[in-house]
Amino acid sequence: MLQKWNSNDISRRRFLQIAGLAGSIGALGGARAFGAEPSTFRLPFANGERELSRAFPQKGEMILLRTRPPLLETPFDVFDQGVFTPNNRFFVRWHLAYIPTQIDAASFRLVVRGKVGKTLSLSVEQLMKEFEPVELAAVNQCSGNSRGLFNPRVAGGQWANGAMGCARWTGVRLKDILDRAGVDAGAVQVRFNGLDSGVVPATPDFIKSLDIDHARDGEVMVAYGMNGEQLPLLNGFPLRLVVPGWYSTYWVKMLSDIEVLDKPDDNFWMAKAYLIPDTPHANVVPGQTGYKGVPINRMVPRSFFTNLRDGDAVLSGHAVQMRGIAFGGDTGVAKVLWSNDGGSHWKEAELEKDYGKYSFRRWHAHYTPKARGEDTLMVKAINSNGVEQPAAANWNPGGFMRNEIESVKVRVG
Amino acid sequence: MGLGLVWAQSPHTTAIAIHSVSVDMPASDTVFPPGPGSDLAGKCLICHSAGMVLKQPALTQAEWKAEINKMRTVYGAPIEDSDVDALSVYMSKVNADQQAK
Repeated sequence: MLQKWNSNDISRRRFLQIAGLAGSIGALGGARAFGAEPSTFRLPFANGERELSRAFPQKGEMILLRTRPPLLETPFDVFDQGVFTPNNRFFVRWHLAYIPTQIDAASFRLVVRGKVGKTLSLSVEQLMKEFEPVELAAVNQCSGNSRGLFNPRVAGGQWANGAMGCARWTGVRLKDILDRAGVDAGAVQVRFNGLDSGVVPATPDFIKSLDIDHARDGEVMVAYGMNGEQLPLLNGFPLRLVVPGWYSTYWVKMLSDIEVLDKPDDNFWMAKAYLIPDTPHANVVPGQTGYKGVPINRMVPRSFFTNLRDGDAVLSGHAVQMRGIAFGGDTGVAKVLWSNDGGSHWKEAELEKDYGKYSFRRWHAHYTPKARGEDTLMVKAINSNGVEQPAAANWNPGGFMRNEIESVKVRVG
Repeated sequence: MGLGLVWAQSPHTTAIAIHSVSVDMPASDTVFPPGPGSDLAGKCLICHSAGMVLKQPALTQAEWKAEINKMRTVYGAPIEDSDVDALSVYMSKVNADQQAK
């Protein structure tokens, strides 16, 4: 009953049809002639044409934003398929171009050093055997997820909404690791480094820090499992920091070095990059100056339709199923509300199984369009701290923390 | 390569098998469009493929200068001070041409 006649993104098949009609490019080369031409589609902003790529190791079809170092976005229809994002469709974001492509699971070591009683050098096997395993469902979302939708636009990775995912992470508590090393009394932060590095020596190594109390809260995890399997290399094999409720920039991949610090980390990636305005919703007016910048931190609630897109066709007098995902940010989802009149009236959606407060939560509802024309459907999440998605989008020059109420316009026929 | 299988299991967690990994990364076949300054733009490829530049939203020449200078001062891009103007002109043109896509 649901048919699409004008979607923002052109499906693979539709693109191939269009490419076929265009004809003449096909004569250029063998690859195209044999149908190996990569399919493209369009994200809903200027310069939003993207290739869909299957070229990356351990990955299925992903939206290619940058090949080196890889930036790969999850096609949004993946989020309609379940609460957990499959490992081979999980988004990928690297800062620096030197990424090891061979990792020996036996010889890899995680070093714990700095202001500790004893330095540790732990194999993956030791982590798995000598520490209590824990498992947690948690959303991993890029600080700049949805940056391409900022208006006015800002420079940076031009993501639509697919720089996020939810997985079941298996690993050990960072607290347990730190306890084994014995943290000194004067410790204030813990710094995390992975195996990646820059190509030019001057490039600052990608390292991130958490306050010592946060690092020892018993939730921050060193994960070796993702959805019941080892992590894909591009998602951080063999070990990745999991910082539930916090943006992905802290979830250091290929984690190999943990350093306990006795003073606040002033490295580039903490002191200069990933700063947000210290204002409500990290919101400022374009061009505004003089505000304080602070390191990005806790996530905010978001919710999405996963089965409806702009331009979808529905029939008046027939029930329309609506479903999607929500997450609470740094705590659980209390409610998901939907509207079919552009936000004048809101009703509560049905929440599906709860996999824990840091997980995606699926929701569903239905409504029956009354008259032909256009309906604006909206969805918003309220988290268990009472924090609600804002009606207007925030803006900041980094393109961080977008979480406005999402809407979809459907055509009622 | 060693380890083979290590299993972690407790009543509350999933058994995970860890195997060594060896993969190949794809090379980028995206090139900068020809034109005055494209040779300078080639230096950008030391650290990242061209897609990062070509996918940017409309930026002014001043904004391109700021981006180029960030790459030089923060990340160590080997671009001479005297080349910044020419490169920013090239970037602005290429970037403007991209916006219809």
